[in-house]
Amino acid sequence: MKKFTEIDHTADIAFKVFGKNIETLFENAAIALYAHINDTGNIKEKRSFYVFAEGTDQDELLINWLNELNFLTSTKNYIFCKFSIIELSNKFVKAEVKGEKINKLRHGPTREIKSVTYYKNVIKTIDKHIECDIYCDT
Amino acid sequence: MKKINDFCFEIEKEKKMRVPGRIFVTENMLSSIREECFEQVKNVATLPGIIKASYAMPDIHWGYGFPIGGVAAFDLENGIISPGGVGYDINCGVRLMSTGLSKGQVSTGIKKIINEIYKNVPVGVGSTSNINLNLRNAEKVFKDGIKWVYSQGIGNENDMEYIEDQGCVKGAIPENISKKAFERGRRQLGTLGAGNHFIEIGYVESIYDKKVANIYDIFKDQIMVLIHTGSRGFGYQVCDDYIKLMIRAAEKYSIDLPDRQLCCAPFKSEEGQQYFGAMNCAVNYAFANREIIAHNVRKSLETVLEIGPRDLNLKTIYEIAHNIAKLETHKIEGKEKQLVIHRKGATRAFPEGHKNLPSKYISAGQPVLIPGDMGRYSYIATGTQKALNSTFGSVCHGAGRLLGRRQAIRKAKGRDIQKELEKEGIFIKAFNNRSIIEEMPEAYKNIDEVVDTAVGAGLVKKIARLKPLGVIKG
Repeated sequence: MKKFTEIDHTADIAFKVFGKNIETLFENAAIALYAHINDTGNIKEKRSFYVFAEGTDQDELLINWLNELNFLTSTKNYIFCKFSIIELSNKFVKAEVKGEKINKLRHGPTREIKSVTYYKNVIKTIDKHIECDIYCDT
Repeated sequence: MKKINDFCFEIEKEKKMRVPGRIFVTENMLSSIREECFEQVKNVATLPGIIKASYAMPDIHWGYGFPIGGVAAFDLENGIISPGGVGYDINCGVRLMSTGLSKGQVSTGIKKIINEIYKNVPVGVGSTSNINLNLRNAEKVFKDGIKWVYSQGIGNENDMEYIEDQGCVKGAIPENISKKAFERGRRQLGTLGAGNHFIEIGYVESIYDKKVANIYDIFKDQIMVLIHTGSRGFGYQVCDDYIKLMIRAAEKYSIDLPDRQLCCAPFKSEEGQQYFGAMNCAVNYAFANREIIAHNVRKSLETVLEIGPRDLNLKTIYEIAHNIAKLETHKIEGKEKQLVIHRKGATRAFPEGHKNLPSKYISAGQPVLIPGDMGRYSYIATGTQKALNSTFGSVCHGAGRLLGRRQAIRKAKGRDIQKELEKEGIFIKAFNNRSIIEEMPEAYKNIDEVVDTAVGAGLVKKIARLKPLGVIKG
């Protein structure tokens, strides 16, 4: 199964994320986010962080999780390649993420994501997988 | 869709819409607007306390929650305030500055000028300024806006009068700012950012209204500076923090949301006031940000051109916000009423005689700045009484995108956009090459058509048109 596909949005960046279960959906959403921030695929696992997020339900939690990652990227200048969900309920997620500081020479251009939005924020179950559309303000 | 006239269409009230939708476009433009935009106009029309209509300006394009180019006014008593109706880049806006120089005096040195500005203004993802705010200073920026910049001995106090709200709004509440927002904004004051933000040096290519151009001190071939940026990571985080709060508030106040990004609270509720206080901090941060950038542009021009401030004569013609919610008094059914106006990718456009204008512009009207893409033109226009009556004094904020970012990359394959523009006499410097491609002229609607639509609808009058010579992109 594909991890994500592009949605061609006029002004911003958008993608559809897939998962066989809720944990892989959260991991794949993070992978998709960083594929749009930096598309070299050349991010090394140099340092790990524990990331926590809360939400009123899983739909909101998914966006809050991505925004927690984006907060680390914008304040610490880190980009990530490995995401392991440790705990995930309807209202809480804890994960270990691995990555490294942005290095312009090796990573080339990176994209600034102002925020991941709650536009069309609904996780849907389709046949045997789940999916969600994600729209980012860039 | 009902045709009102050649420049305005109405989406009639249906289902949960409280008011109709009104879109200021021509029939020709209508076909290029994506269905999602109409859906977004309709969604805004369902929000409690909305007055008259959910509006979209001629540069309408697909946003998230509100459409870009969206304007909505809400009643103070039973209406709402929505962070999604302002957007992440709170008080993103445009500053236009004039110089005493003509095109002939700088065009050969444009590369040097652009390179010097690029050296002095931090640009692009992850860039930080040499201002490292501590909590105490940050509070002053949030409360005082542009005045904080002057207290640091930089900037030009003459700019203040020619900025919307004189570069400082009241009602900022620093206690409503999260640690995360402070953290994201502390090293970004005085930085341009990335995406569609830019600094442009251009010249006055055409003048359409000599009388008003004279009042604005604009002459043919005059060198101009345009600065487009906002509240940087600070504003993004304020918006993000309060969307989370508003998702809960909308549930608490039983507000039926057609889309989560439209989450909101009654303006007068605790949550509504909390957001308004925090948003105003970001509005002031953006005012300070543009003044610091303007200061560094001024220094750069003086260095490269080896002239003093008097000869350079860099003056702010006007600065406007295009992502903001503010309290304004408008006439509703003959009575003056205070409303919460949301402009998301839309610019204020007040007519001559309006009491909120600087005295110099009272007889001319507010300068309205409508930048196009980096290869074509930008417009200086002026607000009209018709705009005040029909869109709460609002108009488009730019050309509006035509192509998505990935579509633009596909279209530019095998081409050197930078070289193409250089052949036309426009020097582009960017932090990363991808933004040149994503922001290429063809990715935008034709600004001439967008502005002509706004003029046709009676929302603005054209005053002058600028052509770029050099552009810095994030």
